[in-house]
Amino acid sequence: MTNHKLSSEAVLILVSLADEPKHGYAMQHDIERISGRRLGPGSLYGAIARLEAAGLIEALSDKGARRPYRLTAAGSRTLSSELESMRRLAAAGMRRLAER
Amino acid sequence: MRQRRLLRLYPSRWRQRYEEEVGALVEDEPLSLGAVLDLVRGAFDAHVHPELGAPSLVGSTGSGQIPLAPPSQRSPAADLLRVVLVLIALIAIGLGLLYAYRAQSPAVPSVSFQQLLSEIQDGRVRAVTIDGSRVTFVLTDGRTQQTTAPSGDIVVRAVSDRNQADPAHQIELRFSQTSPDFSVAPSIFLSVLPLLLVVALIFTAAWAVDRSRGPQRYELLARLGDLKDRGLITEEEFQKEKRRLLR
Repeated sequence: MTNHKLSSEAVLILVSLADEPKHGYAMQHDIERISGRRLGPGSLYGAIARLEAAGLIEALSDKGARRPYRLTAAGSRTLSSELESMRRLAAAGMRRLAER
Repeated sequence: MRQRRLLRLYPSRWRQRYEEEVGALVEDEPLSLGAVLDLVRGAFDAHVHPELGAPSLVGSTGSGQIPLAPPSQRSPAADLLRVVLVLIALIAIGLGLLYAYRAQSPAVPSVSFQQLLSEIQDGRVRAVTIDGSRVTFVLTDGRTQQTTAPSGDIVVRAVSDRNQADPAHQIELRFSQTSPDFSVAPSIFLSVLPLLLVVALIFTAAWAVDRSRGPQRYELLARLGDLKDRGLITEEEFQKEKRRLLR
């Protein structure tokens, strides 16, 4: 299930969880800080539910409203390869712009 | 909190799993149109993807009491009844849309005020109804048309001039009094009715799709797998239940 295409929301969540586990509220604020994009609760939890179903993130405990999530090993691998392909894409784009 | 009520749009499985978390998040959100649309879209998404509400079992360290819902006992007749009800609902929504569309664009064609005056002068008008600035008139050939008059008095004068000039063919003059307060509310309602019906249609469709996917077979299967992993049921029991579920 790890080979599917990640949505931009999913990438933001994975990046947000890359350093440490966070609950939904912390993710929302962290994502806004690193990307300038504020995910609404519906979008955020739509993406969280997908990532959880795909086994890329997991809920840590039953802490109710403040349940933290963390990356799984599969989530780390997926994020790593996604960021690598982003890096290649960005490099190619910058190179082409510079050659003009 | 009003925002929290929006979460009722989500399917119950999804709510069991995420409602508390999302509810806390939602309460911190200012109630904006964007936030509402975000939740409505999320609810639709959750209805179309029922597998997303399934409780995650990865890393869960709960009491081990995951309730295994009994397989639902639905008869084919009950399924058929549901399908028929959904169809009836769809037809009702379709008729409602049609009605709302007709109400939005009345069948009476509009003409210019000058045309009304010349029709009156030429004796081709049978009856005139004045409702504020809106004038509806019936032609001698039976067609109904409407126009907007700068003042009702001009119409009254034109009609009485004509009636004096040709007393044999009297134009019937009527005044209709609809108070503005009375007509504004229904027109606002009618203008949003199509939108409401479209939303209702989307949710009905999502619900129907949700239903047609069967009684949460994969969710049950995931729970069974978890029970097996915990050693609460044996591999043999798991395989037996799995065959039964996927039959």
